[in-house]
Amino acid sequence: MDKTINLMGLFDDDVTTAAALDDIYDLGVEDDQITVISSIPYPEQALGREHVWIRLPIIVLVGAAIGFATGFFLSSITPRLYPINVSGHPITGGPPAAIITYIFTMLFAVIAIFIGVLWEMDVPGFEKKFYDKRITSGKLAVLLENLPMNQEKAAVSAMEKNGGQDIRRPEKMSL
Amino acid sequence: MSEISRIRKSDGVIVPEDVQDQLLLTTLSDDELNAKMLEPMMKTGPLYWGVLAGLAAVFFWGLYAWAYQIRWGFGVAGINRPVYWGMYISTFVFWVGISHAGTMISAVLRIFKADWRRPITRGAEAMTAFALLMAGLYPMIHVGRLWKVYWMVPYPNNRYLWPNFQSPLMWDMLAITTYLVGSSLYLYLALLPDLGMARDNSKGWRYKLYRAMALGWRGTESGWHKLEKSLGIFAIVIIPIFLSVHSIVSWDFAVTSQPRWNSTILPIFFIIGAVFSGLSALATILVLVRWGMNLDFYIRKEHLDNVGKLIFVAGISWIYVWFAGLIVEWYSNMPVVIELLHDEWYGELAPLFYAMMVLNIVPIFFLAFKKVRRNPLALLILTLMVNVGMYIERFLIVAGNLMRNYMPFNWGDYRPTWVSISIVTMTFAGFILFYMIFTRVIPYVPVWEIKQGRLRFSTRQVGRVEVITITQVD
Repeated sequence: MDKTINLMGLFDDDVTTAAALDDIYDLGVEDDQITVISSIPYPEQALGREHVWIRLPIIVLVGAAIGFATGFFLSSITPRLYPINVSGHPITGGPPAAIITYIFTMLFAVIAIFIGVLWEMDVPGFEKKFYDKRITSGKLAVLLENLPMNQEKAAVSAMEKNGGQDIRRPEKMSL
Repeated sequence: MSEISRIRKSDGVIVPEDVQDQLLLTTLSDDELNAKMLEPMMKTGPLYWGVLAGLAAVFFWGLYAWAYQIRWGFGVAGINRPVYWGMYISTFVFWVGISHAGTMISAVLRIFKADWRRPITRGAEAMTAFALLMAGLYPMIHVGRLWKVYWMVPYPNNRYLWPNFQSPLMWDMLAITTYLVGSSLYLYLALLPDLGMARDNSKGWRYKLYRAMALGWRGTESGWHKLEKSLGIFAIVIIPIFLSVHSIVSWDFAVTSQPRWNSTILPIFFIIGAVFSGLSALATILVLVRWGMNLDFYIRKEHLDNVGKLIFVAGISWIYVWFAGLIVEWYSNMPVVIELLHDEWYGELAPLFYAMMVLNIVPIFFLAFKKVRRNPLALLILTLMVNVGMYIERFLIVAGNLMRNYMPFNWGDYRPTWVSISIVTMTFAGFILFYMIFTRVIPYVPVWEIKQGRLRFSTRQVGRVEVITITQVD
């Protein structure tokens, strides 16, 4: 099995980065071996990357459904277990039950958004990672992981041709 | 057009002021943008520490007053029949109202892709979070026996007690908790990239703090995609929450049979009032933070102008809804309602009523003018007037309307005591205190959103004039 290496190069802007990525793809490098790191979000597919499906909307819907069930249980089922007669109102009133159910649905939905996105992004993650502080200065980093050694020269050449700077085998750093 | 200052380039092209001043056309490097946000955070002079000390003193005095109230009973707050809800509930409604502007600016304008929101969203979201924290204190203050608050939590117990989910106070607790949790998480999520930036540019305790809070954020493409997706979903989810919270607060009043409270227009009146007072408070805060932290590079006159326009629209809407409620009450000719109206127009509440009208309506007139909206001092004075006017409005609705009811033998007055004034002042001091600490610890301006906004903005020539062009990049 070929020994693999990691490679990172810095670029000044999105145009040169996208051009470098096109050349890297032409070398046969797989999409999951490539990570682009930047200080701002770029439009999806602006850098020629594949669309990434995320599960966040499903996680939010599941959270909302759990909240709905919890709210319905608390507002419509539990009062029958512990009845309180208030001013002749029914033991479980429709409008108040709707309010409580709605609130719990939204509460669980927002918690699901937060936990879901952290899970999807795989954070928190304080282990050492490949990174370069110059990214917050505006540079874009193209990181190639598990690249076969025999592709290193071609990958370096592809990056250099498109304005890549400080192309090197990076070391993981604390974040 | 003749009032707008223009510069003429060497090729004869005219560059209007709004193009010259456009933040998102800045050519500063990313490093310079980072520094312009981080450097003011590190600078704290004697004035800052003096104000902080004063606010802390007021806050702790308020805590003492609260302890005094717990020790001697709720009567020391001046609460007695028929005015069962006085300054505490008025201030509670005020704080919930203030919190609405944050969501408006942040969530609503994000959905509409209004780029001018970019430098002010975090300040607005922080205002929401801290206002809700202060609002959340009031149910606990008002319950008197604070140690029994846990009875509101639904868990099986041997007292056979269960929360009454048909009580508006229960809806209040849940709604405010939901809004506070949602706003805080929304604030924190959008903060992650700037925490990463701050982590990479700081040392010492700040580095440790930002490192812990940034959760290992790097800025990978998939990370950005997921973060943006989550912020979009959050913006959509939090808008119905913010509409429902103040509706629920208004139902504390509207579901009673108290004259002038029992009205279906109250939710809309409360929401419009909340947006009006919240945006005014936001404008006040922006002017002060801009001055105090020298952030005039980021928070420019265009942003103050746009917030001023929103306040103007909210103010006009408030006048309409106020009148819509009044005409129905006046036309009913119910004796006790007319008695309450006369109290406001000619009676002991008249000074407060007319002060409210002047403080709310006069600023609206002035905010119609661009020159006024773009003048920070003028905007500060006008929005402070609105803040005071809207506080008086809440006081008149809560305490003022309780002074009269269907049983004339049960009519009475309300006089706040030093205890209630101290506790209310405590929450104002606490809000400002937490906000001031926030501005020095957390990057106030979302720098990543400014940098992202620059992708969309450019200029092109139309005839002889250079105009701003906004590109649809997502």
